[in-house]
Amino acid sequence: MSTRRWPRYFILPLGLLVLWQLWGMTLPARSRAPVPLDVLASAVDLIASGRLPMALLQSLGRVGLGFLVAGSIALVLGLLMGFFRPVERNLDPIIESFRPVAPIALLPLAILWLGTGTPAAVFIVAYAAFFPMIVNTIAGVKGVERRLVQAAQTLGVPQLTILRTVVLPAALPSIFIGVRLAMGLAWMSIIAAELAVGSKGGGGGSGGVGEMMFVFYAYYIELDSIVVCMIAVGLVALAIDHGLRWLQRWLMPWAEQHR
Amino acid sequence: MSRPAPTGPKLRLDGVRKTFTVPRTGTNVVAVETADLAIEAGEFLTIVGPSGCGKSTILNMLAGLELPTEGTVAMDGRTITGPAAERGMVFQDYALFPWKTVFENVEFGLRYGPHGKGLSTAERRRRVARCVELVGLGGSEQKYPHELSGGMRQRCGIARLVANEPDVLLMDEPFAALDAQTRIILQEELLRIWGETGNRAERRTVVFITHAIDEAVFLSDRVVVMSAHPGRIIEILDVDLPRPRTDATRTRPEFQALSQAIWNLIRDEVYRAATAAGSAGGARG
Repeated sequence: MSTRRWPRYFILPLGLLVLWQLWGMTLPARSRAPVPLDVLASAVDLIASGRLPMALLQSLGRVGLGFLVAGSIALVLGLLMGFFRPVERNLDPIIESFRPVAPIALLPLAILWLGTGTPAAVFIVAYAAFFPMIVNTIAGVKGVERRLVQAAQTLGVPQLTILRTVVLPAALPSIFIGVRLAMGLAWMSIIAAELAVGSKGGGGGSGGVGEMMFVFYAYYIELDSIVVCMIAVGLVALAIDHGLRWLQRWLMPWAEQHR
Repeated sequence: MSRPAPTGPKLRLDGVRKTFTVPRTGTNVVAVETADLAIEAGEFLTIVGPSGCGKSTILNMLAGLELPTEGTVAMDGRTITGPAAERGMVFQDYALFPWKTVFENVEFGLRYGPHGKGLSTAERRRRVARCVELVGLGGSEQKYPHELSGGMRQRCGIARLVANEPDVLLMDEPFAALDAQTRIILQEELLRIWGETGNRAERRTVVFITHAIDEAVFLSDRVVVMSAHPGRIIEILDVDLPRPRTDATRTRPEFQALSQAIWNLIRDEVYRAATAAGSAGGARG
């Protein structure tokens, strides 16, 4: 995308924003419809006061932690399940029967066991992130060219070393697809989890963007601020995905050439 | 590297039969039908035959990547039960690790396998550098496989094999994907690397698979001719051409006569396969 084409990409969204603003100004003053200029004012306020950055950081921290937990388990299990048939036969039924259970459905359990704070939120994130990562890791391992494994075997390299030095790097592109999918889901579930937990916390609850949105909704009915949160959530997700894609290119310069 | 005194053949196939079960249909396909073969230490043996004759299956069994359905495959009298560093392999599609440089590919076996144990990092690097030079890849150490031509990739594959110092070199149609000129050059270089000009006792055992008859005759001490459906050994021929082999070798009447003899053995089958092209399934090579 050249810089000269940027303005054209913005014509439609900007036009829609202007129309939205004009429509909003025809409404009575105490209307609850958020309009762009009010949202902008609210955004400036939320950012300047540090409330939004703090809430985002807290949510991000939970996503990061849950992601790390889920990622490490999914990577180890996925590699073993993809490489050793008996491991897959035994674990696959368990994983596949949990997979359709929505992360939010586990929230009552999470709150009962772990309370309304960070551990429950991390648990929900980890649960949500686990499945796309393990499914893609297994698929990646199974898609590894047999010849590469055989080449290592005929050099006398032991199986577990092959898993680490051949299978893992060869499966990395597929694992990364899982990571990107999981990041989207994790970010989705953290907001949902914080929203739900926030209601129980009664305002002094769990923190994070989700809780902030709940408080704006339940106590102040500030739609402008809720829209700010929504936009912030979307922008952070976009930034994370770009970061992951950059990481992918940096980690796997060879993979780019094969596609 | 010292080797035990030669007693009996280096490699031996004893009544080897290999069948596959085709997925879904469940029918049994015979890939190799009762093969007996003894390969001497230091011998350059080539197996030639039309596609589907089971030559690659035999090589995979020698590597330990596949096990025979019946009979035994043995090295130095011990039954082969799986792959090992003493039987290294070069693949038609190179099978280089795309995320590793030429140097790292060549280093791979020594770094992660048993043959590098006891080598210091500096010794290992020296040996790798020597092997990279040996195959003529000096200067390309830091390149990735996708930056190399087919010929250079296979040079890298050969260096990876040689660096690991296996007792037996198994080569599965290593030059099949290369153009004719590159192929001729690599054939001569392979013989040089194998130690054609040196002492006979210093040479490693090579089992080489090809469908190119001239390649088989040019390289080998003996040529095993196989036929397909079912795959079986139909003839074993001695190649009494003097070494080192050169361009002049290819014009000798014995070279031509031997190539013609092999062609006569498999011609009918090749024609049959060619006219039925596309309809034939079954095992590769």
